[in-house]
Amino acid sequence: MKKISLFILFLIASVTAIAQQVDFTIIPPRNVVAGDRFRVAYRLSNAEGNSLQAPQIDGCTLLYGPSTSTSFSTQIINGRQSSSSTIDYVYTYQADNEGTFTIPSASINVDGKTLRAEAKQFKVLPPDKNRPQSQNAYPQQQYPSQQSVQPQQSSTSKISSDDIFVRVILNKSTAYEHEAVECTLKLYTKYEAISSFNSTSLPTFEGFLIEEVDVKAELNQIEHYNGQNYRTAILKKYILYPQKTGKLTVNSGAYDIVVQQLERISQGFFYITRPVEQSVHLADYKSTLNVTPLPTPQPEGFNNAVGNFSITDELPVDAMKTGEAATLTLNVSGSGNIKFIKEPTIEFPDEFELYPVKNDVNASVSGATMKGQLTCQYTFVPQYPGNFTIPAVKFVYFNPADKEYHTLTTQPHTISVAKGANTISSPDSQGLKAKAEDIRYIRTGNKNLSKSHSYLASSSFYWIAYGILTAILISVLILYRKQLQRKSDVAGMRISKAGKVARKRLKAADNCIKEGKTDAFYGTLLQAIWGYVGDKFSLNASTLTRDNISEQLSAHGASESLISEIINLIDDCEMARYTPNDPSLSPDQLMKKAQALIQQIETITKK
Amino acid sequence: MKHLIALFISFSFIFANAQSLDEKADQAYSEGDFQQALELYQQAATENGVSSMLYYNMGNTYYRLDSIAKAIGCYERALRLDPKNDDARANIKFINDRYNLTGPEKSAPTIFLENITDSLHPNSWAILSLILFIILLFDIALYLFNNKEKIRKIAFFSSVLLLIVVSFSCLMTHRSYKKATEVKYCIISQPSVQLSTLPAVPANPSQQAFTVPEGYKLEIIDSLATPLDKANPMWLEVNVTGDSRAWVSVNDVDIIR
Repeated sequence: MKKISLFILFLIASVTAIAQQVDFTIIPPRNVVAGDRFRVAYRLSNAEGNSLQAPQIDGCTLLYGPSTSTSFSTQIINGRQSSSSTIDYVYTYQADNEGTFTIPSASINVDGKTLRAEAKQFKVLPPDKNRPQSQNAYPQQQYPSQQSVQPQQSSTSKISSDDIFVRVILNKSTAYEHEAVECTLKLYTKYEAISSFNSTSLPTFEGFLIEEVDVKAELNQIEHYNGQNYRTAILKKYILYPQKTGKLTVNSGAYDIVVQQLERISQGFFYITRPVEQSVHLADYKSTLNVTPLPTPQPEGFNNAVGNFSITDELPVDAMKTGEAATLTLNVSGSGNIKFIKEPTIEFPDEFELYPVKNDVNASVSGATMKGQLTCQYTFVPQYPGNFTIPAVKFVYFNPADKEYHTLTTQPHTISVAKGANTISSPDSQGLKAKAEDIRYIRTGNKNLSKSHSYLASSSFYWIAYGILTAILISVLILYRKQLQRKSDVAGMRISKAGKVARKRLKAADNCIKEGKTDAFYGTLLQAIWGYVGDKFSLNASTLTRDNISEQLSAHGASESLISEIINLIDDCEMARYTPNDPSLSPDQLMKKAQALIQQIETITKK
Repeated sequence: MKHLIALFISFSFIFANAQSLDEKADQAYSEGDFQQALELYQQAATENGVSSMLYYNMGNTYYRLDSIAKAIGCYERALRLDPKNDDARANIKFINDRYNLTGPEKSAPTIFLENITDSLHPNSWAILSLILFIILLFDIALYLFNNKEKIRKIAFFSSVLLLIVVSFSCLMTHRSYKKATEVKYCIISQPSVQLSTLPAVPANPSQQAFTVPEGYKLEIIDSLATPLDKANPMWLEVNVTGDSRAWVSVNDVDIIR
């Protein structure tokens, strides 16, 4: 029973041995099944002890003990020598009943001091239901580091589905959306050894976000399941976050396994057992999770954070200059779906230029959930000087434990921004931006209310005005044109008016006869004749002589008799005028003569 | 002292009374009592008549009361009375942008011409045209009656130029007058209206032309009167997207007139 292992290393030169930590612990047994024997070891490290006080374990029968085993090791790492020694005091008990038992605290005396080892607990599993009673008598294993019991495989060569299977174990049957659920894929087997293990299809998690946990697959744990003891191994472990509500299924995947089955062969008087390799195909194992939706109404700002969190924030500065960058750091720490949390939005003032938020998640699996910290860094650059307030950050999460929403808020930060050196660079390129837009404000004051709204263009007079104005222009134009024509030809006007003027004068002379003013009559008649001839031939009063008249008349083609008649008429008139008492001709005769003569000249000049 | 207070109260009462209806409405608006403001504006409109500014304020009140169609109707009327009312135009644009009511896009020359038309009141256009015409007549007279060659030359070219300007101004007068008086547009007054391809309620999906939101502005092309009542057309043929036409019931729209 006594086993001493000693490793001695011979060393050159001086090597200092470093004193190791003195320790006294209880090593509890593992995988104890009721009726079996087991060993409890009290381990003393790096010391020599005496007078061990190890009280009895209640509910178990002490068979024998203590037996002592000592081990000693020395190692040199990088020229440093260290040595350690352990002494195990081993008691062998028999477990009478299943249940949880406590190994009471023990004490040992080392160099006059008393060391105490803490009490430890261990579990005694119930025996297999179909286990033959006779086997109780034969203890198979004695060392606590190895299995103390052997799960019993069925003795037939056929492998039943009870002998080896994979289970999907969820730590809860109902969960909220986004709530962390631990999922363990566990292999249960009654076979001692597995020669090969292949997965033919991978486990599927529909409707989940998954986080795989690193585990070492080891066949070392005995577990009592469905009245049987199995050797178990954790194949895989996941933290699942359901993303949908309703019944969600986790599929274990299928596996091809080759196991070593112990075959009992009759050799006449005795049996021998030999291992035989058998291959098994393990079909999918399904496990369902009932996912309930998060309670409604969800508070504002809730962003699917489920778990238990706390937040802190930090802004290292409270005064800065425009164009300088500062970072507000927000820490969300706690357990839950921390890896999938979106950073809370912070309503920074519009005068700040923002950089994309930098998120850093530092989380690890702790128990059945993820624990860790999300660090969000909000970097901003104020563009305008002034005093600004960064509002409080609101973080809302749902705690599945108390089934309520919790809102965490931080303190708002006030920050004063002074004018920096280089403010010209950025704001100019963007220009001013409206913070909010709305309709324009009402107009106040006198509104010039009126019941009638008339338009000038609606009255026909307005359009007629254009016509009238045009007509005025045209008529003015015509009149002006005529005026111009006459002005340009004065002599013509005289000629054309000559007859008219002469007739007028003759008429005036005629009136004189009727009134009996003979003196005036002759004068007027003379004036009419002289004037007519003068007008007709464009002669001035100074050039108006008898010779000139006869010349002009002959030039216009008047006969000699006509000329002499006109001259005679003028002579008669002058005679009559200055000798009133001896008229050779009566005024009436003279009048007729004058009329006839003017008529004759008119006809000549018109030719 | 008592008398003084009584006097003061009576003065303030008179002063309050002296405040016209529309000013009271403005006050109600500024205090946030939009329902009251609307009633006062309407009362002012029936008692004292309307103006572009009144319609504009009324439009703002309707907008505050969430009646988009009526707000736009008021703004359109404000613009009819005074095309220079930039506030009304800005608010229409704001509402159109916010509720996504912007109609078919107009071509750049049309927008240019409309901007010129809207830059003056119709009566201002009329007076301007007349004054320009009189100047043109004087210019022509100068050309005709002056003997100096240089002046005649200047007068000739300037009158040709003026003739073009006057023609354009008259065209603008006519346009702006038409715009101010013509019944050409209507605003959808129901939350959502189904336009049909024929002047009747669409009987099957193939007769559904457009679904138009509240506040959308439609151009009236034609109206179809029922035989019984010729004065009130029951269905309007409208231009929806610029080149596609549909029919809308008179009861679903607010005709700007």
